[in-house]
Parts: sequence; C-alpha cells; structure tokens
Amino acid sequence: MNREPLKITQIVNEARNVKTFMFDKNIKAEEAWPGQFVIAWIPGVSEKPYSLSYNDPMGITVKKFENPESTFTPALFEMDVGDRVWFRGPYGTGFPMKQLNSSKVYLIGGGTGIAPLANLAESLKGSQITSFIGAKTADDLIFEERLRKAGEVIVTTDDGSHGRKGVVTDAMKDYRFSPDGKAAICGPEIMSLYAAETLEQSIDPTEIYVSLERLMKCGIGLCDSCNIGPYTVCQDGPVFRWQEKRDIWKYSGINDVNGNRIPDFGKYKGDRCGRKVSLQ
Amino acid sequence: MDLSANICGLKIDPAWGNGSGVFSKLERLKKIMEYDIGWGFVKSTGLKPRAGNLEPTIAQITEDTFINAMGLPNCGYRNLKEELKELYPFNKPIVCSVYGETEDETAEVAKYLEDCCDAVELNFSCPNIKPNERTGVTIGRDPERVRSFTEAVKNKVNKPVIVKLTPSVYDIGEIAKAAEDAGADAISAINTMPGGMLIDIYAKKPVLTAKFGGVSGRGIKGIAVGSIYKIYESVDVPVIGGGGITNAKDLIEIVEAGASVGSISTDFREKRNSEIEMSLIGMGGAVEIILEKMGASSLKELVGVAHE
Repeated sequence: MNREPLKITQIVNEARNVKTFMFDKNIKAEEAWPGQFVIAWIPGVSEKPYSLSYNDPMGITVKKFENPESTFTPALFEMDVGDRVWFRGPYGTGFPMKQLNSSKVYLIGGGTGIAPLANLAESLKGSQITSFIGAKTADDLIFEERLRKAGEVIVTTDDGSHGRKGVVTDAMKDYRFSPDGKAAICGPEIMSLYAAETLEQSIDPTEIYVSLERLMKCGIGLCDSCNIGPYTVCQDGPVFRWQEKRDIWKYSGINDVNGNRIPDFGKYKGDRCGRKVSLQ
Repeated sequence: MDLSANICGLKIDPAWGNGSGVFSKLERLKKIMEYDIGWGFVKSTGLKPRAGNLEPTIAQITEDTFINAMGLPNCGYRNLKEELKELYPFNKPIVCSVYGETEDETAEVAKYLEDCCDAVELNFSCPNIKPNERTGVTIGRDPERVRSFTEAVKNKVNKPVIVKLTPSVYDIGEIAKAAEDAGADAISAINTMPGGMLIDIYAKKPVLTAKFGGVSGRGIKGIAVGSIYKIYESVDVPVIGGGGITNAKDLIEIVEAGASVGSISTDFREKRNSEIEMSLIGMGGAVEIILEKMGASSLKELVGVAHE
C-alpha cells in the first residue's frame, strides 16, 4: 500500500463543481478493473478514495461538495497541472470484465457514479451497451458523450433541463430489458436500490452488479469504517452482486443465496464515529 | 486434537480470536465468528461517540508491518449497547473493550455493557490518544493507575475483566502484576507499539495525519513474544497473546511463551470475508499438523513450555 506520487497532466471541467484530474500513469485494464478504487492523498491535507474514471492515462473525476468539513476536494480543486497527488491501490472488487465482455450490458448511473461506468463502457470488448444516466440538471451531467460512443444512452434530469424529466428509474420503468442482459449500477444508493429492483424483474439478479460507497478510512479491511452488514466495502466491495451466487467469481451479494438482503442497504451508512445514520 | 483453551470461565475453541480494533462493527464480527475462531473482541468504546483522526490513519512500513493512528473512533457506549442488545448472545464468547479517562468513567462503561458481553477488556494501551488525554497507554505505563482502574472496574463488574497492556514500558511484568493484584482475571498483550512514524521522502512529511501511530504486524512479533514471556513469569492469571501472528508457527510460539489464547489483527488485512474464512481454516489445520509432529495432543499442554 505504498503511496506513489503522480503528476497532474490535465484538468478537465466536466460539469458544475465536477472536474477530472488526469495523471502521468497508464493503468492496463488487468491491473485495475473499472469499479476498483484508489486512495488519493494530498500531504498535509487528507486522503480520500476514488474510483478510476479513466485507466489510460489514469484519471479520477471529483465532485466538490459545499461541505465545511471536507478538506480533500477543496485542496484538490486548488491544484494545477504539474502538481502532485499521492495514490495507493487499486483496491477492491471491480466490475467483472470477463463476465460482461461480449454481452448485452445495461449501465445505470447517477451523479459522479457515472464515472466508473464510462470507464467500464470504454473497457468492455464486444458488448452491446445501453446506458441510463441521470443528474439533477443538465449542468450536473457527466460523460454523456463517452457513453454515446459506446452505445445507446437514455438521459434523465430532475428538472427536465436535458433528456427526460425525472430520475433514472423513471426512464427504466417502461423499457424492455433483454432477459439475457447484464447490468452495472453506480450512483446514489437509493437509485441503485430501485434500479436493481426494476432490473431483476427482467434479467438474472446474479448478473446485476452494484457499486457501493461508504465512509472509508484504512482501505485494507481492518478498521470497518466502510462496512455494510457483514462486509467491508473496501475488500468485499465496492462492487457487489445484487444476488449472491456460488461460483468462481465469489462476488458477495447484497442479497445472499437465500434472498436475505443486507439490512442496511438503501437505509443506513456509518458516520465517522461508526454510528448509523440514515441515507435519506 | 484439542485446540481449545479455558480461561475466565469461558471455553475458547479454537484458542485464538481477533484483537480488539479489527472487525469493529458488530455485524461483521458476528459473521467472522461463524468461522474458525474461538471468540471475538469488540472495538474499544468510551462514554462519548468519537470520530478519530483524519486520514491517512494507516501506513505500511514493511511488507507485513503497519502503523496506524485511527484515534479510537467509536460510537459511544450507549449506541453500542443498542446494537449489542439486538445481536447478543453470539455463537461464541464476545469481549467488549472499554476505555475511560478516570476510574469511574471506565467502570461505568464496563458496567453498562457487561450484560451484553461475556467479558470486558480494559484498554490501558491504545497509543492513539489526544495530547493531554489521560487514557489508553497513559494508564498502562503507570502501575498505580493500572491498579486503581482495574480495582474500580472489578468492584462494579461481575463478568471477567481482562487488562490489555502496552509493550511501551520498562517492565511489563510489573504492570501485569499490578493488574493481577487488583483482581484482573486475565492479561492481554500486546497492543501496538507506540511512537512509530513513516515519512514520505518525496512529500517530506509524516504520512499519518496524526504523525505518530502504533506499530503492528510481524515487525513487533519479537516484542510480543518477549512481553508475553515476561508476563507469564510475573502472574498466575492466563495471558491472551498477540502481536504479529501471521501463521500457525507464530501462534504456537506465542503459546509457548505463555499465552493461553492467541490474538490476530494485522494479518486480517486485505482479505475479503471468504479469504479470512480460508486463512482461519488454514491456521487451524496447520496448528494440528505441528502439534501432531510434536507428539502433543492439545494446544493447552504447550502453554508456557518455553519457561521449563
């Protein structure tokens, strides 16, 4: 878990308060699958996990929230090309590339959760991709063009300023999903919950992969800050199967083999003290 | 092959568990305790919810030696009990680790939690405390405070009381004796070695936000074995020994030094639950094989044999 300093080579404005930072490193798909994450450190500031939005060259896409407690993103947003950020990782489960190659794949993304899905779309080989992506407004939407190059894209915005008015799952309701399709979901957990419940009506629930987020501290499975139910998001996740299956891939399931759901999913996350707080 | 231990009126089978601090969420601990592990330790809890230090809180010194300064994050004893009530009893014994700045505070936390656990462990050894905070390692370095805190808890609590010690003292045997004299039912050692640091030479800064942290993993195994050896010579109560155990040979070494039960923490890193399950199965199998080759029929008979 040594931290490696990398130079920023490019900074791209993606949307309101969202920027992509590219670094002087190329990561081959087999070294870090889309959906895996790295932990970025700015010395003297703090450390934060991000999934990779680009592998080659390596890039992370970061949203700056108006949160007085956040230290990392304000410092990162002050940085220029040539400045350095330290990285460790990649960690965790990624999306199962071998499973998803040469398949009909549905990508469901919301907010900055679209970032690893765009990376996934560009990394898949021979797959037929349909993306459902959503954001609050047109100004908040990222990576629509990247996903269009990979296949069909259905856009929703909360205010209707771009695409269909509503949330992603509204657009999914009247869509006819192919029964042999597979899905990758990343976004706000409530969105993931409804998206997965919609998809499982049509496609194999063991072929729905959901990326989760929890407050993460150590990143190596020791501190349990990022746990959800019996799992750590940093080691068992961040990508989970919607429905667990006993097979060689061994993805842990949000619903176990008997169909029991992790009780906290879609409901609670841990705060910095480890107290459960509502996701709503 | 008998791999169990009987200490504090509890049967621990097999005779190893996690150290307090890893598997700190109860649902995760409960899952891990379905695996080949004899008991489970809940992360240290105090009176008030506590956020801990800002990340980075962990750094790697060598391949299997780490340094951490989590800073005692915990949800507070009232929140913990709400969660414990839902899950207790577990399938095996569980131990609640507690800390406090005063004798009364420590005893209050321990008393409040005792009906939802099988033993309490007093954290006299966490090095990652705030400046001027009078808990953790500041207690474990002072035999008088070890005595008074242990007594205060023993006077209030009916469940077995384990005292967890820091290796960062001149004579850990003397500290263990103070705990035993005050009524401790077992001694646990060692916590991380305080005062460690990793500097990133390119950043020209310590990596940990807290700058200093406790060193854990294989790099401190020699200190653990020596500490346990010394404690075993100094007290009659059983010893729970940990510090850098990564395989069956390490575990048996710690048992021969004097530990009745082993504790494992850092070695659980970078593993999914399924990998932890496999590594524990492997540990059990390897301990059996080594014991067979030694002509032993139980792990118990090896406790402290290095002293004979």
